[in-house]
Amino acid sequence: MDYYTGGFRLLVAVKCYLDDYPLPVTALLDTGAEWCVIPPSIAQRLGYDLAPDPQLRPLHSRFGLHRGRLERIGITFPAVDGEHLRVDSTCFVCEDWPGEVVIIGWKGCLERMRFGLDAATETFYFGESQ
Amino acid sequence: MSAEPVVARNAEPEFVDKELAEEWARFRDVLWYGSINDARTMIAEMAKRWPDSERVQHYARVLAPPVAKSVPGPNRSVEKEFNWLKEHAREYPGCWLAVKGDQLVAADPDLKVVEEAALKCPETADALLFYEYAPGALDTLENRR
Repeated sequence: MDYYTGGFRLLVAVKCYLDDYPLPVTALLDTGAEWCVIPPSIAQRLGYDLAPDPQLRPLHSRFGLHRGRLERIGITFPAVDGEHLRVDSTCFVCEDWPGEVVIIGWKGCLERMRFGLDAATETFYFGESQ
Repeated sequence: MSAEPVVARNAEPEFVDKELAEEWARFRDVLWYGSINDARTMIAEMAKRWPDSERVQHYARVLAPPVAKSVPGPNRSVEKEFNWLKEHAREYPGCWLAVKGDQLVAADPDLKVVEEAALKCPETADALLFYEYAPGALDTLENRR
């Protein structure tokens, strides 16, 4: 899905599940993002502590500097054809993160899976890394 | 090991172990500015050296290489949901939306309200969640910097 909302383009949107949260969420697949980011509203529903870790450097984004923490969160990509893929991922959570969209980033997630995109059919292919 | 307060450059006065504080200061620079594999190696070594440090153990666990595993489950396309969102999501600025097929299940600024509405009924318990920003919401935030 290529969709523009609130000042940013949700260029590659994918469906995923987070930990055991029952509802699937729409996430931005961003190969240029360093980390996965879970918005505070969802991280809170998942039961994560949003208090920033003072021993971590802040994360820099287009919105400024964000103090947060890293957590291990299971991200499951459901398949239309074949098997789903669950990636135990490293995610940044932060109480003042301004976005409400889950970002699927490189470190701690995409780096350890195989994936491909077919823009013409808007299809996301994925599988375990060999 | 030392019990004197931290003197490591860039380290908050939280660690009382000077060696740990210095090693942590190096680690967090590697984590943010270096290679993730180097950071993993460092934190794994620190975890062995400081088994009683909660923070070190936490980050050793959190930063372990991600494990990707195939799991079985029901398969369903979200093409209808994405089409609905493209056509109608703008009608609900500043709201969380739950959409199942080509039907809106719930819309509200509070995620909990939308979640409860979707989970109330088995047919909508796998509705797709989406947040629709108000027009220019993120531009406004960016310009505030």
